[in-house]
Amino acid sequence: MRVSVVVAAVVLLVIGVSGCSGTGRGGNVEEGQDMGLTWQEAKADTQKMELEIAGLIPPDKIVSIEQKETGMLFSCSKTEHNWNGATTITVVPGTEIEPIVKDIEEHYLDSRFDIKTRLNVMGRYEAQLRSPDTAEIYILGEDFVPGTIRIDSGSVCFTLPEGVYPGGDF
Amino acid sequence: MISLSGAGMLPEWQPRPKTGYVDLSYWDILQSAQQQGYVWKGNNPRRHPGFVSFPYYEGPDDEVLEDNSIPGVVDRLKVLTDNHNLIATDSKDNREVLRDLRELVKA
Repeated sequence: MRVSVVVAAVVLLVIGVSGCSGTGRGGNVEEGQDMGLTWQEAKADTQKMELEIAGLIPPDKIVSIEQKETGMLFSCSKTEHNWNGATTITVVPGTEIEPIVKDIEEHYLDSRFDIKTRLNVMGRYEAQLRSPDTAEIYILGEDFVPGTIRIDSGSVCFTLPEGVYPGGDF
Repeated sequence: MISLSGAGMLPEWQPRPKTGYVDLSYWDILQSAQQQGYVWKGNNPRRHPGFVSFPYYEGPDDEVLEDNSIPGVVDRLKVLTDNHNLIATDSKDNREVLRDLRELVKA
């Protein structure tokens, strides 16, 4: 452990600590996560799944379902991206949201997803449906607007056609 | 003000009374050195009472950090460095941080 600390200190001296300059693409950067879909196909599959999850909320609790028409791309690796969108469900005033999230979580036990739960930075309960094999993910929990459930989604990874800039709306 | 695994502050720095200060971090190479007091003489966001700190996020390869062997030091350093770079990226692996940033900014 002491060896790690000493080496870490040396590395820190090299990279500097007063102004960090990351590569802009940290984390898991291995190639080969492309599932062979176009970004449009990945988006369509992901939006369909958002609505499947929203459809598990008891209809008598729902005021409205609003799916964002566009999303944005996150990086999967230096050359691959995934599509990320969101659906917001407004529920009847006074509805407790955490039990709804937990019911949805229970629905996906023994499914193709792994489930992770946590309290987010504001202390609100959040359930994540995570594909163990791809970047596909759905995160649901109470949004910062009271009385709303937000489903954030992430698609499988794909490779953009040459020349397509990954910024902006998709 | 949100610090993303911030390094440190000048000794004379003081938080403003009506400003909220938050630090979000993975367990990374900087945090490791800060824990030893090597960085900014310990005057770090994670350790300053003016900051609210949340539990460390889990990096995508954190299981590597559980190997405490000497041969594993190079792999551990790579993961710690990757975790430090990850916090300010649009990587899919940084999703929890990005979702929490949205919450904090809108709060």
